[in-house]
Amino acid sequence: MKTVQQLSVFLENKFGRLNEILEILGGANVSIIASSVADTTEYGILRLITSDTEKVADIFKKANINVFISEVLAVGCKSDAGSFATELKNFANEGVVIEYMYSFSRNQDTVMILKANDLKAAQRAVEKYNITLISESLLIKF
Amino acid sequence: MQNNTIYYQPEIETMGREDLEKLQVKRLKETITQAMKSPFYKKEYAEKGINAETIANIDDIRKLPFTTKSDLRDNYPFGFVAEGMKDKVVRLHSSSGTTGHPTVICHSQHDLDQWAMRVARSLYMVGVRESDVFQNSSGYGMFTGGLGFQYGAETLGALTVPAAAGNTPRQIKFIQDFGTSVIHAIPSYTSRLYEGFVEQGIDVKTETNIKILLIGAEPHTDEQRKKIEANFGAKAYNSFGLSEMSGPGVAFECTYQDGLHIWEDCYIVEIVDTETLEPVADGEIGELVLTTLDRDAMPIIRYRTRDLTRFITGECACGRTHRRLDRVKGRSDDMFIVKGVNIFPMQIEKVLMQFKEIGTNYLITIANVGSNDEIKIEVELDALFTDDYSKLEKLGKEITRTLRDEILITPKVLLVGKNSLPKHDGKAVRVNDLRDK
Repeated sequence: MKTVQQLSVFLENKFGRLNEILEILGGANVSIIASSVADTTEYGILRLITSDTEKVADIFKKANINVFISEVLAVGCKSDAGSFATELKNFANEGVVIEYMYSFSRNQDTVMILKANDLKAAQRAVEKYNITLISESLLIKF
Repeated sequence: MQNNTIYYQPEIETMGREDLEKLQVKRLKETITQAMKSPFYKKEYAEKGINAETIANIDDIRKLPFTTKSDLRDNYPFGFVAEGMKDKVVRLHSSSGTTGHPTVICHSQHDLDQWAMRVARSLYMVGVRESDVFQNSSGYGMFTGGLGFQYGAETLGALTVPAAAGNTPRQIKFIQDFGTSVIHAIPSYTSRLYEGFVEQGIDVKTETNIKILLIGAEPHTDEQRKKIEANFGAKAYNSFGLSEMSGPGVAFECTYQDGLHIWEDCYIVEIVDTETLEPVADGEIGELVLTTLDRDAMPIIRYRTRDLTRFITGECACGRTHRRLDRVKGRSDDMFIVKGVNIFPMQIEKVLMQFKEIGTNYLITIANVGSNDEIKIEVELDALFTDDYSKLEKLGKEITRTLRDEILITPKVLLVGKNSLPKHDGKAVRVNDLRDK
């Protein structure tokens, strides 16, 4: 199954911290394909899909920034009414719990980034319902 | 010639209690006589009718008054120096003196030689030999951990690398280029050094010769020591000293790592209740009180160190008879009171070190929130082990709960990113008390 590597960065709740991190990425000439920030009152987590996961992880480690790499699914779907719901239902039918998700669209296509609790169950759903997964190399060109 | 064998002195280090006490009484009498040549003790002892004859046995030391840090400050700079010794003083060390006058300790050549001997003896005890390369990554200058270890390691005959504190990339280069096998540093610096190796992608366990670390000058827990040992794949031994008692080499762990042997041929050791100033029962915690027994220029008698510790009872498996002190629990000055509870930073550190997900750096902040005092404890995530909030929250709650069990108050625990807390080249500042005084 085609999975995509996602970087999660621990964000202290400090003015300017997000900017500092994004500037590091800009300086390294890495582009961000998708991102999301989730926050609690005390800290946040920045989730990123970039054009070069390993390079970014290395840069962050050298800059003493806490980083975690995980496998997520990039699901392609049409932006017309109802297709989003259908895809989520397909995963639910196979017992997949979505821990979090975020999405982005370009032209008529939407990509949903999903973190599944169980990759094997997700794979069953992908095969059974013929779900379109987008590979990392394609995502970069998206 | 095996010159260095003199740094194991079994006739002194394994001397029976009775003989040791006889030696202490003899040296205490000499110390009193010498001390009474100084303006401070001359006046103090004359007023109280004290002299060498006051001492018949070791318990008679209790007839002598205590000496405090304020006595040293009030008699700044030379009020404790014995008459006739002024010209024989070859070096002085001074404390930072953040409040009022600093304290100044003067040494004759004899005093420096004896100090170097004690450090050499301590180093030998943990297995340092003349074939070792000893890197001293401690501040030099007035801080006694620099020159104290320098002369001690030279006396032992090791190759010394006086790297001094800070500049981690240079420390790592020295360790690699010179084949450093022994390092002395304050515990908080060893964490930074380790991070430096990780950043450079060097496996400190297999790609360096480090086999022994000597850590001291900063109170730390056994949990922190174990973490340091695991990181470096080496033994870490606790060193204890204070500038008023010359510096390092007052007490040192042996290879059994069960308490620090305090060199009783050079110091008389008492542990007293901080309120009553009477001796505590053997094994009970109290304030360490020390008397120098081999200092010419500036003897100090019954010095209240403010360090809290206890005797470890029983005999040590190494065979040395000099009693063992438990690691310092903190300074009586470090204790803070929140909601009527006495808390030592060491209690908090001990809990934090049990969590492998967090690093060794932490910061305690106490502040007024409304009419209440609150403790905030910031801890650094060592590595982001998840991207799942619930797991991070669970860790925070678990730390909070364990801390509450230890200090009886619920602190606010805040996870922060790696390296986001202030770093320390010198002694770590762990407690920030922002309450209205």
